[in-house]
Amino acid sequence: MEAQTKSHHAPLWVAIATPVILFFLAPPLSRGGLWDARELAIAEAARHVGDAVQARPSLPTALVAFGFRVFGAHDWAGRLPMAFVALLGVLATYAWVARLVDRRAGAYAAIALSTMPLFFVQARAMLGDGVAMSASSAAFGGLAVLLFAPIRARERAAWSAMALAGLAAGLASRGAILGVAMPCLGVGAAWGRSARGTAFGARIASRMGSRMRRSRWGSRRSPSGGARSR
Amino acid sequence: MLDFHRVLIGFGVAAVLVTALFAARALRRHATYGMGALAIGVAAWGGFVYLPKTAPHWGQGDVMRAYYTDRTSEAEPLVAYEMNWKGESFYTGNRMATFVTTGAPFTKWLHDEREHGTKVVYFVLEPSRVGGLKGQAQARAWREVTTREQSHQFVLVRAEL
Repeated sequence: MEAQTKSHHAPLWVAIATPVILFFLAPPLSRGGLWDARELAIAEAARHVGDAVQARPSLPTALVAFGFRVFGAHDWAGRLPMAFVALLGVLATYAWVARLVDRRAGAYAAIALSTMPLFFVQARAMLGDGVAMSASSAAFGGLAVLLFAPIRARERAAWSAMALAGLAAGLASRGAILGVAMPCLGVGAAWGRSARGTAFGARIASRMGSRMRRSRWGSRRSPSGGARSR
Repeated sequence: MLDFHRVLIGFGVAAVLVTALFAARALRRHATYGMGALAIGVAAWGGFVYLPKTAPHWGQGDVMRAYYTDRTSEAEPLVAYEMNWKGESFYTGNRMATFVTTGAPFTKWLHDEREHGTKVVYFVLEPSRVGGLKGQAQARAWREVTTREQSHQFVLVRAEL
């Protein structure tokens, strides 16, 4: 029984351990100085958070500013929030892949995302796109589970929260097109091609068609000039 | 100096071979584990080797640490000469003199430092500008504290005024 529970949780532990080791520990975030001037541009912007020039900073800039405020102006202090958000992105990916496919597939997805060079570098550097990528995965996955998986009401609230958090973080990171439209359109297009989506589309089209017919015929004028009632 | 092409080719060939294993149904399980191990290996190499080796060349962290190690007291100031990056400000907490362009303000600052009795000044700059700095500063002695092997983008120079 215990062994069964252990193997049941093994994919989750793989999904947690891989990004924690790769993003935080191997090697520590303090190893290697800041990339001049790309990382330092966001560090400089973070320094001005709260000033009039940076009254509404993007989410990555605000996170770097938070790291500096809590831990001081060290290179690792700015990188730490980025790595943490990337970890959340990997866990969100594990969660929705595990829910839509199975836990093992979730673990593979977590390994694939954690080791993808672009995401890996973004997770360990103060560049900011790792936040947008993580948000995109959370939004896409949350919406996909809501539309494609048979779920209970309590579960629905949790997946809705993940989708909304992802959309909000995406909007605050890289704006409406990349942060909101892209995951919504991606899931929406996939759902539109599915059987449920096609049936829903057919129902909408039929209702719209009948409404248009009624309005056209309802307002058709009689030869005498008055509206012809049907 | 920085040459990773053999390792990158090696990873590429390994990825091709592991991907080819997926074609055989009996080997797919091994191919999946192999691909996972290869992916973790590439990421670990990136974290332990690639990023630490490239970071000193595209950042000023090590150059600034060299300044704090090499100077004997705070009376030996640091100057960013014709620099408009940002690392010099970040790593020193803005405690430095910055000259984005050379000219009269820089020569006046050097003159004032000599008048105040400053004996040693450190300069952080791009290696291609060392010749111009030597012509302007007219120092008695020069020493390049960091080498091109340590950083090919930035150099720390110690000048005795």
